[in-house]
Amino acid sequence: MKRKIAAVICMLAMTGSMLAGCGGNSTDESKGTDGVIGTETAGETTYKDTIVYSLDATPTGNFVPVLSESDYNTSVMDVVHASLLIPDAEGNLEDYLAESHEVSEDGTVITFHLHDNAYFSDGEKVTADDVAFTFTYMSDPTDERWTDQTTMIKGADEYREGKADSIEGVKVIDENTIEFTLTKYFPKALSFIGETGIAPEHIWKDVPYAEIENTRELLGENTVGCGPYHVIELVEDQYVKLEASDNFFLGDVATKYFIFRVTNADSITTELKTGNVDIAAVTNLLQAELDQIDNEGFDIKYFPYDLVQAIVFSASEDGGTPEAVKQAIRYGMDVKGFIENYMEGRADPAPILISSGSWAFPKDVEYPDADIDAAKKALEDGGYKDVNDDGFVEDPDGNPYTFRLVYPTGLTCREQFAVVLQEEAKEFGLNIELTGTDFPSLMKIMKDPAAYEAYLMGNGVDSVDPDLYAFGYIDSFAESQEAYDLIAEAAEELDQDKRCELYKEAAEYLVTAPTTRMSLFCQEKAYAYRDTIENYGAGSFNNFYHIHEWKMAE
Amino acid sequence: MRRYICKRLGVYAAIFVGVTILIFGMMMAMPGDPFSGLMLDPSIPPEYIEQQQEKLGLNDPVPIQYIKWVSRILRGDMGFTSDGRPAAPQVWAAMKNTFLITIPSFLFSTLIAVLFGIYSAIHVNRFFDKAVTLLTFLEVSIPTFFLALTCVKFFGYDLQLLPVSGLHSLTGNLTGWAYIQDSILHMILPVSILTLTQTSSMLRYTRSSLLEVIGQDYVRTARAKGLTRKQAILRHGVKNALLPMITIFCMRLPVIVSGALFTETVFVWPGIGMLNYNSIMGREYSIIIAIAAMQAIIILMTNLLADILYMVADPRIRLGGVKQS
Repeated sequence: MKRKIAAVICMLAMTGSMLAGCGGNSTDESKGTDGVIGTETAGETTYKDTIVYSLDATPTGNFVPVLSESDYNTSVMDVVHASLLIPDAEGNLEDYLAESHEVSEDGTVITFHLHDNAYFSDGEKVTADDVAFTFTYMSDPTDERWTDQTTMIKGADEYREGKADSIEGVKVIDENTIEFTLTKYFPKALSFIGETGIAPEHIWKDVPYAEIENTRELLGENTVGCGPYHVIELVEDQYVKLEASDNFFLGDVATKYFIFRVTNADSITTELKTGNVDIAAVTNLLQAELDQIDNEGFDIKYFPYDLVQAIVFSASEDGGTPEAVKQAIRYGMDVKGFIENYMEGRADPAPILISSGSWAFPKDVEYPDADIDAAKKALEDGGYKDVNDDGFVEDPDGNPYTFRLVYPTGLTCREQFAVVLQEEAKEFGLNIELTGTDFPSLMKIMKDPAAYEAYLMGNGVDSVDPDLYAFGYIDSFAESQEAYDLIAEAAEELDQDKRCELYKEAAEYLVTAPTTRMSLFCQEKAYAYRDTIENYGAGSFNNFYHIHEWKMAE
Repeated sequence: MRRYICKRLGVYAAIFVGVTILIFGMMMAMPGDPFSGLMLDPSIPPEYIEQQQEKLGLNDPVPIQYIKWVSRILRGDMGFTSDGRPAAPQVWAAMKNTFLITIPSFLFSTLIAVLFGIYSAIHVNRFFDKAVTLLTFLEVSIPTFFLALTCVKFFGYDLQLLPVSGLHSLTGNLTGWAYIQDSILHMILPVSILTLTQTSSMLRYTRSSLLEVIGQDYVRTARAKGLTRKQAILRHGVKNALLPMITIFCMRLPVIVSGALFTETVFVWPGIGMLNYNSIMGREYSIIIAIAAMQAIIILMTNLLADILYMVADPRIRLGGVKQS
C-alpha cells in the first residue's frame, strides 16, 4: 500500500514538473533567436523583431526563380529574391529592383535601370549581367519550361535551338542597365520579364540548368538572393526562418525575422489567438468567425483571388458539348444567387476571365441573372425536349441526355457550385451527373473530351497582365466572334485605358455567349493579421507587397 | 525454432515481393502523375511536362519501372521526388517524427489497456467495469479528428495551456532540458489522442479474453486449492489469456510505423502519415512505394514476432504439442 502511494506521488510530481512550463501564453512565437522578445524602438513605439506568417504546406527548399515551383516555394522566393518590377494591389507593375524602366513607343524594347546599391545576400553586387544570365538560363535548350514565354524575346528561340551563343534581345548596356528587345509587342512581356526573380550569376553559372534541383548545397538555407530576406533555417514540414538582409536596396528592413510556419487550416484561429502566427489566410472561415477574429486584436484584409472560377465545356472532335446545352447553362445558372447564398457575398461575378482585383476588370458589366425560361427555350431550339415527361430533356434523337460535370475537390465553393448547378439545371430540364475527383484524376479525365461535357476549374494568370490572347485562352471564346476580335485587339493595344475598355466590351458579349469557357466568379481571399502590424500591404497579385516595411508594434 | 524462423523468413520474402508488385501495379493504375497539375497552367508547354515525365522514368513500361525500382531499393536508393529531392531523407525524417508520438502512445495504451482490462475483468460488472465499458464505447464512437480538434479548442484556444501544432517552438535556441521540455509539451496532445484511440480495442480484448479464462475449470481448481480469486486469476488466468493479447499487441505494432494521418494533420506533426497522404495526392511514386514497402516489411515481421511470442508464452506450442494459430 505504501509503495502504491509512493508511486502515485512520484507520478504526480513528474506530471507537475512537466507542466511547470505550461500556462499563460507559453506559445508566443514572436521572439528573437536569443529567446527574448526583441524590440526596436522608433520614437516611442516598440516593435517586435519577428513576424510569423502561416502557410498550409511546407516549402521544400527549391528557392530558385528560374524553376517552376509550388505556391509554397514561391512564397519564400517572393521574399528572398527580387524582381525588376513588382505588382501592386491592382496588378499595376511598379519599379522594384529596377529603379526605373522605359518602354519604347511600339512596345518592343524595354529598358531597365537597376538600383546601384543592390546586393545579393552573400555581398556580391547585383548587375545587369545577373539579369541577362537569368533569362539566358531560362532559355536553356535542355528544358522546355519557359519556352512559350522566353519566345517573346528576340533571339531566345535561336539560342534555345543552338543557333546562337547568346540571346540577341537581351543586351547589357552597362553595369546597371539592361535592354530587352521583343520579337513584337506582347502585353505579357513586361510582366513576364518584370516579375521574374533575378538569379545570381556567380552562384549558378557553372551549374547546368538540368542539375539545379540536384545541387542541394546551393538551395534551401544556402539560397542566395537579393530580396529583403534570406533563409537562415529550413525545417521541412515545420517552418522556414528568414533574416533581414543588411544590404537591401530599398533601405533597412523593418522587421529582423520573418518566419513562414506550416499550420493546419482547421486550427488557424487557435494559432492566431495563441500567438503562434501573426498573419494567416482565413478565407475558409465563415463571416461570423471572421468578425469574431476582427474583435480580438486582429484586422481582416479582403481582396480577390488572382484567378477566376470557370466552367469549361468539352471541345472534342465530334463537336463537343452542343451549343444549345452550353447556351442553356449560360442562361440558367444563377451565379449571383450562389455568391449571395453560399459564399456570404465574398466573391465577385466575373463576366470575363480576369480577376476582379485587376485594373482590367470590367466593373460596370453586369452579370446576368438566371433566366430559366431562356434556358428551356435554348434547349428546345436545339432539339432537346422532354419526350417521356420525366422532367429531363432527351437529345434530338430521343435518347436520354446526361450532362457529365466533373470538378476537382479541395475548394469548397467550387464543390458547392457543382451541386447547386445540378439542382438549378433540374428547373430547365437538364440532367447533370456530378463527378468530384482529385486533380491528377481530373487531368486524366480531361485528356479524353468524350468522357465529360464540362469541368469546373480555377483559371489563373501566370503573371499579372490580364492578356487573354496569350497561351490560347482566347480560343475558348471563339463562339463569340465579337469578343474574340476585341480580345485580339486588346493584345495589340499598348494603352492601358484602351485595353480596359476593350475588355469591358468583350465582357458584354461574353456574359451571354455560349463559349467553351464561361467565367463564373472570382472568390475573395481573407487574411487575418494582428492589428499592431503596420504597412501590411498584401493584395490580389502580391501577398508580400513592400514586406520590407512590415513591422509589428508591441 | 531456428528452422521455423528461417522457413517463415523465406515465405515472408516471397510475400513481400508479391505485395510490392501489387502495390506498384495499383499505384501505376492511379490516374495522373506528379506533373498532372502543370497541365492547368497554360504557360507551361506540354513538351515540358513530357520532359519531366521522361526524366522520372514514368514513360517506361510498368514492369521496367518495377525492375528499376527493385534494383535501386537493393542499393538503398529510394529514388527522387518530382522536384528532384531524394526520397529517403524525407521518409526517414518523417518516420522519426512519427516514432516520437506513436511509440509513447503505443506503450501508454498497452499499459493502460492491460492494467485496466485485467482490473475490469477481475471486478466484472462493478462500477469500474461499467465506467470503463462506457468510456471505451464512447471513445470508439468519436472520430479521431473530432477528438483532436476538440482538444485543440479546449487546451489551445480556451485554456491556452498547451501548444497545438508543430514539433517544437520557433525560438530556435532552446537546448538541453529546455528543448526536451518544449518538445514534450508539443507531444502531449497528439500522444494523448493516439493513446485514447488505441486503448479501447486492446482494453476490450484484454478484458474479454481474461473473462473467458476466469470461467475455466483450472481457475476454479486453483481457488479450491486455497488461492484467493485475485491470486488465481493473476497467477493462472493471465498467462492463459496471453495468446489473444499477444495477437492484438502484434497486430497493433505496425501502427507505430504507419503513423496517424488525422492526428498528424490536426497537430501539424510532420510524420509518415502526412507524408504518405501528401505523396498519394501528389502522385509521388517513389515515396508511396517506399512507405508501402516499409510497412509491408513491418507487418510481416510483426507476424513473425507474434509466432515467436506464442512459442515463448505457451510451451505446448514450442514443444509442437498444439497446432499453432
